[in-house]
Amino acid sequence: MRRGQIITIDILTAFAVFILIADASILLWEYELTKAGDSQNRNIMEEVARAASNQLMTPGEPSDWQLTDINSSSLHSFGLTSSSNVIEWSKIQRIGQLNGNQGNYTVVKSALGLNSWEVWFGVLYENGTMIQSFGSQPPTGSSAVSIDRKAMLNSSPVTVRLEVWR
Amino acid sequence: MRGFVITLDSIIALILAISLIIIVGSPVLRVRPSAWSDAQVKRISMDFLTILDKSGALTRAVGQNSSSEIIYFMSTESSSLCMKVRLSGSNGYLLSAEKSGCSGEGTRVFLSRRTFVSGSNFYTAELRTWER
Repeated sequence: MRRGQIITIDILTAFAVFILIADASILLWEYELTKAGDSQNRNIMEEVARAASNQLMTPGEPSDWQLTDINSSSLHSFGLTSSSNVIEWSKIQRIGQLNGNQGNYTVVKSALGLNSWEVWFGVLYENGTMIQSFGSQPPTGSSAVSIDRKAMLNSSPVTVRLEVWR
Repeated sequence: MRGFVITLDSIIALILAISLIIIVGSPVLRVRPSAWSDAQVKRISMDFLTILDKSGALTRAVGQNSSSEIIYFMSTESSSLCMKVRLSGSNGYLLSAEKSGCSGEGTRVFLSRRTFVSGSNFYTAELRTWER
C-alpha cells in the first residue's frame, strides 16, 4: 500500500493563521516586558528623587557645611535647612558659590545619595523667580523626575525643586 | 461547491488562540501607572502644614481668630491644588479656611493633621487636599 501526503488549502491557511497569531503574541509579550522594565526604572528613579528631596529638607551633616570647604570626606549629608522645612539663607548663598564646578557637583551629588544619577535643584519664590540653583537642568527629551517641596525662606514661602535623571 | 468544516478540534484551536491573545494583552500583566501624583499631593500637604506651623501662622490664627494668613499661604500653592484647613482645640471647632475658587471637594481627598501648641493649649490643624 502506498502512503501519501495531503496538503490542502485549508491546512496552509490554518498554518498561516497560526503563525500570524503566534507572531502577534510574541510581539505583544515583548512590548509588555519593555514597558514593565521602563516602568520599573521610573519607579526606582522616583524613589531615589524622593529620598534626595527629603534630604534637602534637613540641615545636612555637618549642619554648618556651608562654612567649610566641602569634599567627599567632610560632607556626609547635604541639606539646605536649619530645621525642618526652614531654608537657611547662608546655605543658599553657598550653593551659588559651589555651582559650576564639576568637583563640587560630584561631592554634592554623592552627599545626596545620587552617585549613579544626575541632579539639578533650585529654590524659587512662589511667583517662579529663581533664587538660587545648583547643577545643570536635564537635557530636553530626557526622562527626568521632578519633585517640588514647600519651605520657608526668611518668612516667605518658597519652592525647592529637585530634578533627577540618568 | 465548497463548504466549511467545523470540528471540535477547530473550535478548541480557536478558543486556545483567542485565549493566548487575551492573556498576553491582559491588564493583569500590565504595570499599573505610578501613584506618583498622589505621593506628590501628600508630600505638599505635609510640607504645607509644616510651614504653617513653623511660620507661626497657625498660632496667630488661633490667637486672632482669623484665617486670613492661612488663606494667603494657600494662595501661594499651585493653582491645580485645592485645600481646606480646619483648626480645632480641646473645646472643638475653632475656625476653617478654604482656598479661593475651591468649593466642594474632589473625588480623591488627602487628609493630613498636625498638632501644635499655642499658649498652654494643644490644637489640631486638619488639612484636606485634592487636585482640581
